[in-house]
Amino acid sequence: MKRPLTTGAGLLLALALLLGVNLAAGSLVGSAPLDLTEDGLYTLSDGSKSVLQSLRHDLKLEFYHSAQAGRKLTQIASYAQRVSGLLERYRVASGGRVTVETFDPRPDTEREEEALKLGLHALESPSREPVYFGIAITGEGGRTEVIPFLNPVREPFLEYDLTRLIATVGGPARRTIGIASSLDVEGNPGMPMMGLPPSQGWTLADELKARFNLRRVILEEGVPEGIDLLILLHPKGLSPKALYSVDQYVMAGGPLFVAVDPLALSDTQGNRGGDPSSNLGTLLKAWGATYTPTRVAADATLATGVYLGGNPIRHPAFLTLGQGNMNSEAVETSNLEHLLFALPGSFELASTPPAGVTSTWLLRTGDAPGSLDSIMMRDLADPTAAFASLENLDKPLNLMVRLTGRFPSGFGEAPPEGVAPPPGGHRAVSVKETAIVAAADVDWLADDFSVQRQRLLGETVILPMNDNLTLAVNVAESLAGAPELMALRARNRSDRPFTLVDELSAEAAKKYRGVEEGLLARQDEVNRKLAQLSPPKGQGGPALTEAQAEEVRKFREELAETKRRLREVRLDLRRGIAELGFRVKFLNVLLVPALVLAAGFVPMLRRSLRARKG
Amino acid sequence: MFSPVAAIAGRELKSYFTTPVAYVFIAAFLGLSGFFTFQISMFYEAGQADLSEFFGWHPWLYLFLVPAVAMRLWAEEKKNGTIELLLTLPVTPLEAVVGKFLAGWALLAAALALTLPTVVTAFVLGDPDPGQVVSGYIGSFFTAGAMLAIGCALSAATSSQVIAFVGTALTCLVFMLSNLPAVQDFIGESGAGLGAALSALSLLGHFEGARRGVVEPAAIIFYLSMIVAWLFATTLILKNTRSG
Repeated sequence: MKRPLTTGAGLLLALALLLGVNLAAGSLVGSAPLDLTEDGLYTLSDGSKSVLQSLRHDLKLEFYHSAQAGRKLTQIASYAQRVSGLLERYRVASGGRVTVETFDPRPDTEREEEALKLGLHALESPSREPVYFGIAITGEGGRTEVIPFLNPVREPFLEYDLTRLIATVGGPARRTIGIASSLDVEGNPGMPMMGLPPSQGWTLADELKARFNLRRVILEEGVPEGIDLLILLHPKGLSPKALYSVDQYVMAGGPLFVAVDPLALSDTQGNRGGDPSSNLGTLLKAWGATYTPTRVAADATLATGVYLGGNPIRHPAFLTLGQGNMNSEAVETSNLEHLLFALPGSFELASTPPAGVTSTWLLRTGDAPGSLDSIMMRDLADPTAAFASLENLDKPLNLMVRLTGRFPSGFGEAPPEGVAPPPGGHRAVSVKETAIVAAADVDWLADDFSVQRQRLLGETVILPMNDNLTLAVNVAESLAGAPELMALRARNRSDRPFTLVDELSAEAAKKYRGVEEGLLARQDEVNRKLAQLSPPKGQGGPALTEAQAEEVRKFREELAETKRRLREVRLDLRRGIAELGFRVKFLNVLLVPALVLAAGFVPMLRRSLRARKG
Repeated sequence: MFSPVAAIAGRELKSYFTTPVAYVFIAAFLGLSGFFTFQISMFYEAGQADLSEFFGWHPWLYLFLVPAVAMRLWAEEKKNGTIELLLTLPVTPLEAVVGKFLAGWALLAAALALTLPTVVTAFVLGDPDPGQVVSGYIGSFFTAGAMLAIGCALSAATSSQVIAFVGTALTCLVFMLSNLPAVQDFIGESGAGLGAALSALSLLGHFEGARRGVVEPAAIIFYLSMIVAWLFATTLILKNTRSG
């Protein structure tokens, strides 16, 4: 006897239970998933955990997400889930000191006003509603930091951004940056009585002042206490005592950001009659990065149009850097797009860095690196002579590097002659892990190469013309912030290139570049000869003789042949890679399924064969 | 209790391989997996040793492979009338259900294992995240299991293999698409509760984490509860049939 009623009831019960269990499980989102990824992408890093555990007071994290309005923006909706999960992990790791609240600010509500007051930005949804997607962190005394809009592009750095802001809000007061420079970075009121006009200083200084306390440091007098980051811009002619104070500052565990330059255009004094280059003695070499103050880095593929001596030229030592020249895994450089470096030097990272030190490149040249003599480059009005001194290189040049770890003193076991050690004695090794970022150019930080001034409605507005200052601020924040942040690297999981393909293309490129260069040179030669032989257009003149016409014809043929061979060479370059691709696809799409089919049909065929025989 | 389950599972598995049908379906699954990964997702051209696209195709491939495996489990027996014979053996309906389910799951696991060449290819070309590969396979295996459990229930409900196939495919599709914004929209504001419910039961939604390298507790609970619920339903449906 069928019992459809009981069966039906049973089925409904099963469905209800299924729903119930899973809805309840939904509230377990974010709690301790098993993170199998190689880089631990979904677990809170030690750096974040230590920041959370050392909070000085409780914090409130407000997550603003217009879930309703934004539900069609699938990238944001799915990112929002991961953000929720991450915030939950923060809450748990803080032992309750961090509370998390989630809001959906509907338009024209108090909650939306709150969001706007905090400085959150809204995107417009397809249905014209504002979509808020940001985080506000509030601490004691109403101190607030905000991520105005969570850009999915910046997902690998979400943990870094959050922990950094939490450290800012929940940590000690504003950090202090000490600046020592031979250039007039901060500006000064001038001495009108003596005819010295006030100078404005660099926009860089304003950007830093907005985030830090800035103090001028005179290295000769030593690096004062309480500096969270020392910035050295264009250090020139430093005495052993000054160098030693920088060295011992790093030995005490202080982070350093130094910009040296073989030819600083911003150094007007130096350019007029002295030496527009800067150097940090042997310190950088002792710490793992070698810099030659007499060589300027160049790269034809990064050449920038500049006006020199009235003529516009594409100058290969004014480098416009794109994302291909930036280390996408470094927290300082991963969200940048364009940078401009002017007559920079370069760093060579030691192949065996000092024990306990790791070095990474942050910025480097492209595919056609070269090196120019810096003294010849000083004659900017006519750089063509300098170009003749261009030395082609085969490894890209590092324009900016980061060194982390515990550094050995550049002075070895004892301070230099006549210099007293600091109180506490001379340190031969950094007392704790620290970091140094070194840039081989200083002009990129100057206004001329980073911002433009526009007059708008009677006011002068300063607009960035590239990401130079963003990079400077990134570096300052990553170095001067909580020390744990230096260990927080970007979880850039998307960069897993096909190393086999890269190897193949590098090999092929090496093989064929020589051939290609030869052909290109030949092509230039033939073109030149043709230009010599053919009469200029529109001019009557002696007609070509038979022999000359024949020569022209032969040259044209040779040109066509050369062009054809060049095309072949370029095709060959790609052939190896295309072949590999074909083999891979054949294996996966055809071969394996065919084998399975064979496995299925062979026994059947065998059986029928046997049957026929028997 | 295990011995009868094992016996039934063994019998079922053997029957899969006596005809080339299973091989054809597995070959098609592998061929399509390769085609989608390499031609549609352009795996080689993309230049990244990231298998999340490869895993992403699995649920869609299961949409045709799983009903094919499931439809034979019960509908055929019902058609041939052998179901009565099966149920008179010293085996409880639950044991029979679990046994056949495990056989089907083992077959799907074999098909999944045969996708290893693609993974090996990725490791030869570059350096994929091994943890992501492990969690991807775990998620894929359990997604197949959940869909198979649905298939068991539908297969038990009819004696026509065709109806079982189509019904399984459609039901799985509902569970797959339930968290998409288009579907949520369709349900609209009034069915807000229904929307949340469907989201909680989304096959694609719970697979997201595993694809990226994370095994979420909510996902494990989802897969296990789906399998239990649908196998329980299968047992109920069978008992209903038997009493008739």
